[in-house]
Amino acid sequence: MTEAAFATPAPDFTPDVAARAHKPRLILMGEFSSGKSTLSNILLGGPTLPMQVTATRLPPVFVSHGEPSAHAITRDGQKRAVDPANLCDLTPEVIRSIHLTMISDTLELCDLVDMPGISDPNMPSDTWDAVVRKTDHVIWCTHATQAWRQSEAAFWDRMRGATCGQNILLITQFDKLRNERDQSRVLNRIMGETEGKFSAIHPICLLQALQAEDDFDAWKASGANDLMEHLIEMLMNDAGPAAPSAPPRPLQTIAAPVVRPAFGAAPPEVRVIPRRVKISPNIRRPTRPLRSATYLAGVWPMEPGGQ
Amino acid sequence: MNQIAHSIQAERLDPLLAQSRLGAGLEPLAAFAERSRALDASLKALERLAGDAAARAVQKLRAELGRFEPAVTVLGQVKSGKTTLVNALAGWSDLLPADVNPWTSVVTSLHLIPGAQRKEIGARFQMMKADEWDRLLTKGGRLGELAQRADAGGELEKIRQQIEMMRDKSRRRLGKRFELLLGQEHEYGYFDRNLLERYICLGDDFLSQTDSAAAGKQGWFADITRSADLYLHCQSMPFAMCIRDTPGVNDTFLMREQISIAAVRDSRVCVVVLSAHQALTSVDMGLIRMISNLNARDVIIFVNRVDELQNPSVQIPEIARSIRETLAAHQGPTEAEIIFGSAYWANKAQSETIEDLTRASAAALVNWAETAIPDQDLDLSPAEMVWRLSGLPALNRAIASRMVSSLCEPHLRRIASAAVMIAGSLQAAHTVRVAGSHTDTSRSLPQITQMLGVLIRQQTLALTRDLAGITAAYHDRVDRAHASFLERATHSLVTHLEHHGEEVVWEYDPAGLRILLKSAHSVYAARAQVAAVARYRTAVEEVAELLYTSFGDCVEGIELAPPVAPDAPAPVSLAQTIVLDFNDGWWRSWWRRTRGYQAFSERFHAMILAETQGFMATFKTVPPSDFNALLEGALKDFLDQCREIVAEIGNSGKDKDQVQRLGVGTEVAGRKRMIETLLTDLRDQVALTQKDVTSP
Repeated sequence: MTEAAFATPAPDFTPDVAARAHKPRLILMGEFSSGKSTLSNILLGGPTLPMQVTATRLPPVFVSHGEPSAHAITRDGQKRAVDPANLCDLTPEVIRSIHLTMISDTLELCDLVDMPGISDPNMPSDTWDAVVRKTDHVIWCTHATQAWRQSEAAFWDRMRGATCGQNILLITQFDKLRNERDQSRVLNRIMGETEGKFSAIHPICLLQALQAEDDFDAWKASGANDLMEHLIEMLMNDAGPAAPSAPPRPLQTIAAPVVRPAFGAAPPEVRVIPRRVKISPNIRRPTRPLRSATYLAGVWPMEPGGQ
Repeated sequence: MNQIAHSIQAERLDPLLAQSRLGAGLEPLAAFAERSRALDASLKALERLAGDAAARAVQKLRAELGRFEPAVTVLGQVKSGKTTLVNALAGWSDLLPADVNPWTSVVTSLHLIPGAQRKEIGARFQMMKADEWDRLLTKGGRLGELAQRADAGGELEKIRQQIEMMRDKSRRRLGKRFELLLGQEHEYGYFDRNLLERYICLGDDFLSQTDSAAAGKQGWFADITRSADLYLHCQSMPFAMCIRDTPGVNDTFLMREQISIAAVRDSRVCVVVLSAHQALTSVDMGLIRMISNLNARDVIIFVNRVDELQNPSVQIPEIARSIRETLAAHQGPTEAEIIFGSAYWANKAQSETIEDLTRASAAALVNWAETAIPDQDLDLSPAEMVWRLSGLPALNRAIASRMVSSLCEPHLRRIASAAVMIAGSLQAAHTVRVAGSHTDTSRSLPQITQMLGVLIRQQTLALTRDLAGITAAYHDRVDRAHASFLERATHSLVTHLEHHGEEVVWEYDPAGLRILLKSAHSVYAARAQVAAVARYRTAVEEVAELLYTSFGDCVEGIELAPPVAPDAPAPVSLAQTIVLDFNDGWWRSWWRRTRGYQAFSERFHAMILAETQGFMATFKTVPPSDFNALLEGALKDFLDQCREIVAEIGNSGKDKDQVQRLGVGTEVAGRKRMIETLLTDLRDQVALTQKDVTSP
């Protein structure tokens, strides 16, 4: 692919248009270094996105099904070819979004968006605005040892009104909690604090899942199998994008999956089974609009609440 | 390198960690302890040589020296490993209950006292006073705002609800005893896990409406405990030290954040604990900026949990680089020391259970050892190696050197200078004694004392007057800043209305006001300090003059050291949240109801005035009244010492009996020599404290 291929800019090409395919869309969100890119690599079945211990600082990455290609949209709306092996150089100050297409089982079911981590002091704070749509399903990643802090809770409270999807809370690095009792207590606390805010909670050990390869037991023990089964069921049942005025779907109850602690060791005899989590897909409207991030810069216009 | 892997993983475990190793890094504090003891010995000698009046002054100095306890505060996000780290610092792996869920809302102060063996010797729990919950609201910080956390403006209301809920719950549970307990202080001659659980462990479901029966007496008082002080003997501590563990910031139970931030104001030296897997989030950055606003030099950053990294040898340098870049890009303290380590490893090394390390953790340890342990140190015992890799020796050293330079040296200098002054007066008194009576004036001691009294009153009054003038100027400046803020805010609103109409909600950032207030405060503080220094000098000159005209040449040897003017306390009330967020609370409904631009601008002015008035009143009165009191206190201490000196010299000339009593067992010449030796000794000690202390 050469620069020439995109010599003619497509000024009307915005992220929304890019993702207009009538497929459900998974959005990966969470604080930086909470495992979003690792998760997307698991979902995509290969090392597509750079993973590192410090904040990755990529703009939103939109991945959809198709012959392999890669381009980026700059902040002034220009389309530009990029090298998928060198995504790290694309800083969010210049690039608004990255768009990849590739062949992957997951992508036949849904499109994927890997969002930049929140709480990264180096991220322009308008990054998160206007990406999430009503029909999207969000997977929120939270790191087990410091799970569900105020910065996450407040951000999600602001964000979740933007989607009617079945949003999942993923507790990553769950094996860092060193025993079963700790695992169930953390899980209990998080379930209590996020009651009604997610349709399911999955504990998972992403690194083990990534390294499991063909070892099904390891894959299962990591919690990834439960998540995948849940996702597949959810995406298969997704009727495609609901019209904005679609009537609210009936109240459903989704069982939170079984928690599988003690990764790496033999599966424990006693399973910690969380209580069921009820969710109404008819999530109430945002109590306040998304806030633009120029908050500290002074006067700043915004839409009134409730549209 | 296989050697390391071998020694850690194989059976060859000889994990005994020598107690002396635990103290590794605390050498600066040990050296200070030595000097403090030397000064105390000199003071003791001085006390023996002094007459009644001067001896009282020396006793006071000794008591001050004995009470001295430098402190370090450990801050960080919730569950970043603060408590585990505090345990490691105290050399006691299971001292405070570290838990996977936040367990307390109390600042716990560990008072470590050097002792032959470790032992809990006491505990004091202070209960909330009736008005303290409300004060938590008003003295809160603006961390959410600094960290640009979502909905930062709505946090105050959330805290209010949480506090209300918690207070109601404890009121229901404790019934009639609730009112009775408020403000109480409970003291124990010991502490153990049960006691801690009773007073400070909140448990997981503290906000739920029903009390779980299983909880029993756990956390019985925990929701009304305001502070916990635990006293213990500690083998590895060379000097008394206080370590404060805070509940942590960025907890969804925001009250914890308020309490943690409130602890910053009492702390000069702070350790900010980050988590290696997610170093330096915007919340960490906000916290570091908030601390370094108050005191840039004394922030130490400890990146905890390197044991959870996959490949520490590669990742640690990467994290370090990223932290440095972020600090530089966001006006953080770039000179802050950054230490990597693992409180988990430290506690394993201390409790001699390194064989229990999880497999992943052991792998990380071996990986990091290959980079961090130089070849010549490969013969360390496994426990020593783990201890080194835990970062604790480096952290100990950083804390000890910050403490010594920021807290200990200034303290020692002040006491040693005061002692030099007293010793000088003894020398003068001695000369008087040798001469048999005071020389060439005919003033009687009562006359001299009276003259000194007048002098003291005059100087005290003059300082109060000087400071009042400066404070008035400060008030004026603050008022003007406020007025211009109101004007700019109103103007901004009107502009906004012209451009966007009434449907678009308006917001205004009070940062401009903060900057103006901060500069008003620094101008005031600088001027007050200069005025005080000038007044101290005048007072010294006048006292010297009075001494000379009263006692003659014999007082020439007295070194009247003008007191050191204290630094202004950080204006922490500036960190208070100024809520001008029109999206939250009643502002919003007001906004929706009001119509008409003209009405907007007038009513807005009045409302924003009302909204900011409380904050402004606090900021106007509290900092100057605190600082003025400090400056006046320093002068008073000095003049009190002068009074005692005069009494000493005067009495020595008058009262033959006392001279003889003082001289018991000491040859006159020998006594003189002793005073001289002591004086030289004390001067040396003052000089030592000035060696590496930069002037404020």
